[in-house]
Amino acid sequence: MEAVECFIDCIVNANLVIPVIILLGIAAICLIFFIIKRRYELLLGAQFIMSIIIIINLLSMNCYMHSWIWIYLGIILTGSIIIVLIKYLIDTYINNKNVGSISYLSDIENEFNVQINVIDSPIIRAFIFLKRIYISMGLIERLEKDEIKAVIAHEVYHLRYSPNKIISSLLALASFSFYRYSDEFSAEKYAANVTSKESLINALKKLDIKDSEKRIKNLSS
Amino acid sequence: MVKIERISLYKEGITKFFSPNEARIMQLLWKNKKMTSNGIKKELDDLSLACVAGTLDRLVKSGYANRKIDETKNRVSYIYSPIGSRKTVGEKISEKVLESLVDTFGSSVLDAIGKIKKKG
Repeated sequence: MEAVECFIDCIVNANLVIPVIILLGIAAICLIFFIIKRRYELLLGAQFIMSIIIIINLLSMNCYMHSWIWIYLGIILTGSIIIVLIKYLIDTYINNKNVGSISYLSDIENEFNVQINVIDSPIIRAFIFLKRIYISMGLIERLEKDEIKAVIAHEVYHLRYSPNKIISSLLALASFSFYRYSDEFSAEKYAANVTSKESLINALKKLDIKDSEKRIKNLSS
Repeated sequence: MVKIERISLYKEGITKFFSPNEARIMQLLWKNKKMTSNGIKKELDDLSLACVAGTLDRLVKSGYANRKIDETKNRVSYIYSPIGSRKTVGEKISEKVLESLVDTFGSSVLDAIGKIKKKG
């Protein structure tokens, strides 16, 4: 309780009550519109404003609470280092395993106007990394051409319409919301529309991935 | 996978050195020289494709099989082939076992081999 009282005193003494309330209001408006419109930019905006509010408040601390700014920056720095490290490890793995484009998939590349990089691995994977689509040999081996096309369409959605995962992870951490926007269902709907629902359902059945049953149910309804 | 501590001398055939699934797949690879995972799955229909793919991956990682991407007009798949014949693999395993025995018992292992040779 003493810490909370000290925290409130510092904000009041630094004349930050009104700016903080205004910023909180803007963040709340962003969040409400995000819930209505499901536009990820609004969520990122709200998280960014919340991060600013946290930094302003911590900087205004004059008592022992001031040390929290270092703890906060430490958390953000550690999180950033972990994210960069993970990115580096994925990058190294991809560079070692990337065999580039293959002619078998060239018609899909032309249709979606993207480059599809094949990963030399029997593990089943399809993902976006640094604005590029990657698909593993394991996945290509397991699926028929129309099913591969449905999986690629799903990734094309993420490539064109989903938020940057690094930025959204950092903002989720910095705002202490720990919430990252997920648009898997939108990507699935897009893939079903531009290819075929049957192909996508067949691919999900064959791949036996996380939540595949739930995703198939969503598509079927 | 052919680790000294995992050798089971009481088992039959090459399952002394490989797991039953690895042994079945290695036998197929030695017989057919080149196969796809789907081809292997067709021959071993009691195994799932995921199990075949996982076992093949272990065989590749431990150096008993090789894989290459094979691209035709209608299909892309891995082509698996054995690294070395059954005889070569036998020599490799024997060498490993003998090295371990010599390390433990020294020259008495060579004496035992001499005795077996005389019997043979």
